[in-house]
Amino acid sequence: MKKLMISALLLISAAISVQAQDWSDIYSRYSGKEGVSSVYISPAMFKLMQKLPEVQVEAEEVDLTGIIRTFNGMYILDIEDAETAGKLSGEIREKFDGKKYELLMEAKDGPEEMKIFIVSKGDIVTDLIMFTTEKTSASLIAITGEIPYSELQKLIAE
Amino acid sequence: MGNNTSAEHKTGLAEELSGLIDRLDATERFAAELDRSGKGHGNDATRRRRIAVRLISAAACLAVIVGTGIALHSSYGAPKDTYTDPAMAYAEAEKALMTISEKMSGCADRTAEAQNTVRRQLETIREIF
Repeated sequence: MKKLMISALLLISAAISVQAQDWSDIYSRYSGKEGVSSVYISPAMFKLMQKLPEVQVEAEEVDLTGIIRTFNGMYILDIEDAETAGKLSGEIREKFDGKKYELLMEAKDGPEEMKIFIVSKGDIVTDLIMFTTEKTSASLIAITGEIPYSELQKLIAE
Repeated sequence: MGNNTSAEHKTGLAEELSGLIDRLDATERFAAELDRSGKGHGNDATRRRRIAVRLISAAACLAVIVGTGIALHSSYGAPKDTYTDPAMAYAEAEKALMTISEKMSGCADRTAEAQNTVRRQLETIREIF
């Protein structure tokens, strides 16, 4: 009986901690701070976007409508403050140390370091995260949805 | 002689009766002992079962309360949309995606360059050897 109670309490605390580490929590903590530009697009807004008429723009080479329709959330944080950027970098590094996130790409170009992580279930990518850092700035784009790998490959090809 | 026989009979009968009474008494005591120990075991088991049910109920209540708290936090703790116009939100999503695409294509181009370099080096090595 003691073991059952301890297991139940551990499961509950794990559920709480997983919830706390969600992108929404990170976004809420950093948005509104000095030196931080933030954008959040909710699942409801993505649903409204699907009702927009499809507009063919000839000048555009890239058609991203298909992939955007598979999104259900987007968090963008652009940090120009060195201290805040450092804090976010530390937090993101800890978050990506676990087994949940798979490193898709990594590139270093001078002082700029870029990493792209994904979380996938079979052929569907449920989380796509790009994290870019420079000496005094950081930028995070986190997208949640049900993105087929085929749509993601189009991003590389474009 | 007759008196002696009847006296002996009486003694024998008394002994038999006494023995029977002793045996019945012992049996009764044994049965009473069994009954007492049986009742004790039943009480312990019932008490343990009651405690277990109470603990499980408490755990279930706690899980419901925590789950409700998490659900409320999710619905009321979610950030606000930056844009109220879906067209503006779409433009922002497109811009973010173009940034990602640019970086990914850059990586892919560098990978292709590196592969070509490796292929050329391998061809040179094959020619030499």
